[in-house]
Amino acid sequence: MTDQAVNRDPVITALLAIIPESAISPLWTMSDGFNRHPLCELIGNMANPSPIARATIHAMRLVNQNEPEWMKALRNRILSNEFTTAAAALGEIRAYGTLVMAKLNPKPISQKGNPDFKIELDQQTIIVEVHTRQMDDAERAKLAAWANAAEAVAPCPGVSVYSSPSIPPFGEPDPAKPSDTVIGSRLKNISFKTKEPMCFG
Amino acid sequence: MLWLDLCSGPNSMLVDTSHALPFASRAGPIVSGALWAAVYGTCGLPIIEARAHGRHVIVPMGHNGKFRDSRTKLSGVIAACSDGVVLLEHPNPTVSLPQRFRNALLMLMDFKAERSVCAWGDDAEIVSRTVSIQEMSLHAIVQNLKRPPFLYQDSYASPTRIPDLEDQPPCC
Repeated sequence: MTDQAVNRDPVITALLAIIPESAISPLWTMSDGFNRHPLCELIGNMANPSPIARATIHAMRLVNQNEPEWMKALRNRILSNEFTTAAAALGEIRAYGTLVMAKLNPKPISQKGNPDFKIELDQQTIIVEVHTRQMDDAERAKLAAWANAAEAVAPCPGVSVYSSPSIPPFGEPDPAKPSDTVIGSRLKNISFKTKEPMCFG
Repeated sequence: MLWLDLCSGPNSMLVDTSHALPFASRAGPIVSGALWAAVYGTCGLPIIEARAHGRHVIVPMGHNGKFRDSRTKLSGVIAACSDGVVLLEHPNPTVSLPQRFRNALLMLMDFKAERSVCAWGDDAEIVSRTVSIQEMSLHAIVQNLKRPPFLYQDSYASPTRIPDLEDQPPCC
């Protein structure tokens, strides 16, 4: 952590001004078997954060500035032990940041179960529901099993044995279903976790 | 409006804005766009997926896309991917988006207008016409991929099909 502190990018410093380092520290040890906590996954390289990390932290600064009360609730969700809760909160922050940058003046709707934002435009109200698509539990478990498997033993000296997992993040295609492929299951599972009636059979 | 965040975890690497097109080649053979099919696709629409050695899997979509469901009240879907943002509008929305909403998205540095399907201007049917042209092109491409020299499979598990002689173009 000391080296990271020395080489820290200014964007990370901005994040730590909103969420204290003492709150983030315990997250570094968390894992679902393969993935780290979504916040740690996002900021991973503290010396050179990814473009997504930069955009998310910039959006977080906008939330903190414009909607401090909402930021308090978001902070708890970001630091949650539930990885899906934390990832969803980060997705909402990114959506808010993008809508603010488009000068659409989104207003968060905080009641549980409601859509996430309301935008008033030309006497019209646009309701925005944010959904952060994530890897499903079965694929997560499969990846964790691969990561924790015992190393393969080389059959003879001078030979190395490696294995690599094949994980379609939207679910493994079912060979028994004629319409299933990697893309087929991806488009079937892409979001649509709205309250609307589902159209997928 | 549904905001789809695909910037989390492995999705950030696997679904980019080219998936808002009906088909695209992403540094490799041509494949279907998952986002486009998920909203505009119909049951039976051919889905193209690339396999090794120049083969394709071409399977019928097993369900209707979101905008094909008459019960949906969505006016559009915004997908935020690692390489930018796209807007896919409903061809016949219950409530149309105000023009100012689309114009506001143009202010974003990473909004991919060229990959979005939007009702720019006053023509209310531009989205349905665009989708219909895209669908026709997709069907034409699939017909070509089922002819030599391409090899394809018609299910994920089936063996590769070598097109029959009658599939070949007539010899002059």
